[in-house]
Amino acid sequence: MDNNEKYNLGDALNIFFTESREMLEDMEACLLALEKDASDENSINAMFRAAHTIKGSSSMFGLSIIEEFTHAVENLLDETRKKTLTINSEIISLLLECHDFILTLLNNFEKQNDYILDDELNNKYSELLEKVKSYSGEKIKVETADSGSVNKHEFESDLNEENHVKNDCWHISLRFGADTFKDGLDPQSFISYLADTGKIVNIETVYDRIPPAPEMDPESCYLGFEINFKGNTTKAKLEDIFDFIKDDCKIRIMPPNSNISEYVALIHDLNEEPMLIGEILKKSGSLTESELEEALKLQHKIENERKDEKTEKPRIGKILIDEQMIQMPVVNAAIERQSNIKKSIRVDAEKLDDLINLVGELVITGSNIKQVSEKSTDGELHDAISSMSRLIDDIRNRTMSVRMVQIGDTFRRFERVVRDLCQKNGKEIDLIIKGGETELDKTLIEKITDPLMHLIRNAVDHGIGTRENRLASGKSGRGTIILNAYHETGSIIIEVSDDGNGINREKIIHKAVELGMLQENKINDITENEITSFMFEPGFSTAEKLTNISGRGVGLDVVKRNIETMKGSVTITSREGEGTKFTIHLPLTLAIIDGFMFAVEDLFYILPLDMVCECAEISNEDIKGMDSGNYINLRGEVLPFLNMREFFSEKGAIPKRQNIIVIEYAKNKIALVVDKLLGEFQTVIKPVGKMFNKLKWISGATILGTGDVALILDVPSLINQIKKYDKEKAVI
Amino acid sequence: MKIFRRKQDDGKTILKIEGKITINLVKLLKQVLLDFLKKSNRLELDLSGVTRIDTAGFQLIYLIRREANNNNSIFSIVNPAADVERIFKLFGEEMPLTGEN
Repeated sequence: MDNNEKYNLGDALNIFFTESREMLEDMEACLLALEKDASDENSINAMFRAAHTIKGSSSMFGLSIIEEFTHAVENLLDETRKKTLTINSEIISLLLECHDFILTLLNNFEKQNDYILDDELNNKYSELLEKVKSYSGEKIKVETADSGSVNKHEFESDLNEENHVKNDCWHISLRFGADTFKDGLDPQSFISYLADTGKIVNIETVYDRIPPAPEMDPESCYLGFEINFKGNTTKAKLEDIFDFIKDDCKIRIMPPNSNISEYVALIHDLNEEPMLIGEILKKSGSLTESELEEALKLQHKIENERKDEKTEKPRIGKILIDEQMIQMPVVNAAIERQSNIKKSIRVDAEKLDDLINLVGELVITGSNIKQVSEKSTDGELHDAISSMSRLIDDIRNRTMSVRMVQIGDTFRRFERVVRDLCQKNGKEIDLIIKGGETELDKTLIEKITDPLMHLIRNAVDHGIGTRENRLASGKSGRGTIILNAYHETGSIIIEVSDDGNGINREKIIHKAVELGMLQENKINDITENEITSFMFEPGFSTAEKLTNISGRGVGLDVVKRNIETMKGSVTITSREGEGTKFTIHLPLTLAIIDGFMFAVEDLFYILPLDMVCECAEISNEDIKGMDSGNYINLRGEVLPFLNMREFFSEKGAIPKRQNIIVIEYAKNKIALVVDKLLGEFQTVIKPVGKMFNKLKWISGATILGTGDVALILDVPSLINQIKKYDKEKAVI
Repeated sequence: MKIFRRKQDDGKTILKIEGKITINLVKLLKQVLLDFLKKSNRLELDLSGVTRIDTAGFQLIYLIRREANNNNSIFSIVNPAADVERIFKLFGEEMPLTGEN
């Protein structure tokens, strides 16, 4: 086998880890859903499938520890879905523990393929395994007795329920599919394995399906088997043996002493000559002579009845329901889901980044071409360039949207966090998620998770009180935390609100004085904003006791810093006794922006277009400024302004006519006084070197068609600048 | 896989199969065996040299046996190697296999 053909195990293994983690995520979501509604059968089935798949794949890769553990979990889930075990909150908590454990194992094995469990994990493994088995173990006896009636069928025997066959062995009927060999499977491995797990008392090979020699394809499988098996096992375990082949083989497993109707059903379903199969069943010892007679009689009767019914090809849904394999609502849901399923594929993140970079370059080049072409009067050229610009726009938008991810997934992860914290603290809190479909750039989502986590923990720990406290103050016993996300001109807003105790104004003031951040004589002058801004100071915490999650005083300042790294801002609003709301603003600055260019002297600058409200000419009179600061009157609206010539320390002569650009961010509006307005301009933000790190108001740079460098300005920072100026002026 | 043919004086054809009787060879083997069956109404398969046999091979041997039966030929299997015995036993068939059911 040359290298091209060699199967790359590494890739397959990576896919296994990624997909297994996804399945565990699904499993966790199902468990949380079941906590709210224990009758949710979809969730139970979904979890079973997830565990089953992880078990199978991990065995393929030789990760036997994961396989064994997941197998036990799968058995437990099987009992639950077969209703021989009722799911309760204890079991759900146990399953959540198992989920966490499997995740830990996966992560460890991913880092080191030949990982060996340390003592702690080994103990956890045994502990959990025992607990899981204790649930499913108890029920085994019930299973064997009942499973005769699990497969309820249309075939009702005239005989009463007491007519069970004498055969005290399991009867296993197999009809292997034609493609068995071609699929690389060999019946002998399955039967051999079966033999190892117990005793094959009798096995009859069925050859009847082999066609005449000329048509017989030796590479197809026509064989069947009727097996009588003795062993201490369950139907589920037996089904497991034939798991790999169940899609390709008709399998029917009947427990010892089944009702005769089971055999009638078998004969009917096999669709072979009833007499022949009957003989085989007799030969195999599964049926006695009289039982066989009875079965054939019944089968015949039902056949005739069926012939009278109108034959209409049953739809697959109906067939499945008839077989009682799934219940009605599940089928409907499945069919609905089919039509809604959006196809998706997995893409290497690096490839995507490369693509986006290229698109960025394309945008710049396109802009440059457009600029240069403006000098020409060639109509055809202009048309062509218009088309090109539109196309580039389109490509850019669509590529950008690929990186956008719905925040809902991140929000939903917190459900588990809230649940676990509530259990620890003995509180009752519901997490409500709104605006989950709001999209943000992938990188932002990764960065926002930690700050959000902290805010939510704060809310559970300090914000919301215990059930008793809440009831005592006339609130509902269950607290609520609401996560909300939405778009607003050029930004995304994320709100974390709770209906808890609110922020105690007095406590904050007291602490601020204590820490020396506030002077006693200034207490009465303090504004609401200033009070809440204290909370963001490092080392500030009014928690009476430190919990190990929050309250150490390192929290909110780190949250604020993280958000500011993303060029965002965070504010708090709160009403004592009613609740608290944290509002996070994040700018949607993407790598490619629609910008508005202006010039001061001979240098060029760009502002994000969606933060530009308007531009206008302005006379030198208007911008003389006033004693109280730099303000202009724009149609009755008072706006602070920033004189960019001053800001950039330009020494040249002031032009006769200047212009203002009004920009807005997070409900803050300011005006920038500039020399020339140069219009809309699409460009890619290129990072500026580390040298410029301190200049917060630069968010990047770009190269114009002329070769000039234009600086891209960061609007939130500019707005902050103005606020700083104000403060400084006030001090003076 | 190799097949050795020996024709005895009493008209019986003995085919000795050496090697594997598995899925990749069954198509070829079917043709060969059916041909021999046509030419001779007494066929004996010596399976002492069979190193491995899978279910496809087992199925094929059954086919030959059935065809022989239908043509009223005499068919038998002798000296089954260990793997052959194993698979026949697994599938509940007694050895040595003859043309009669």
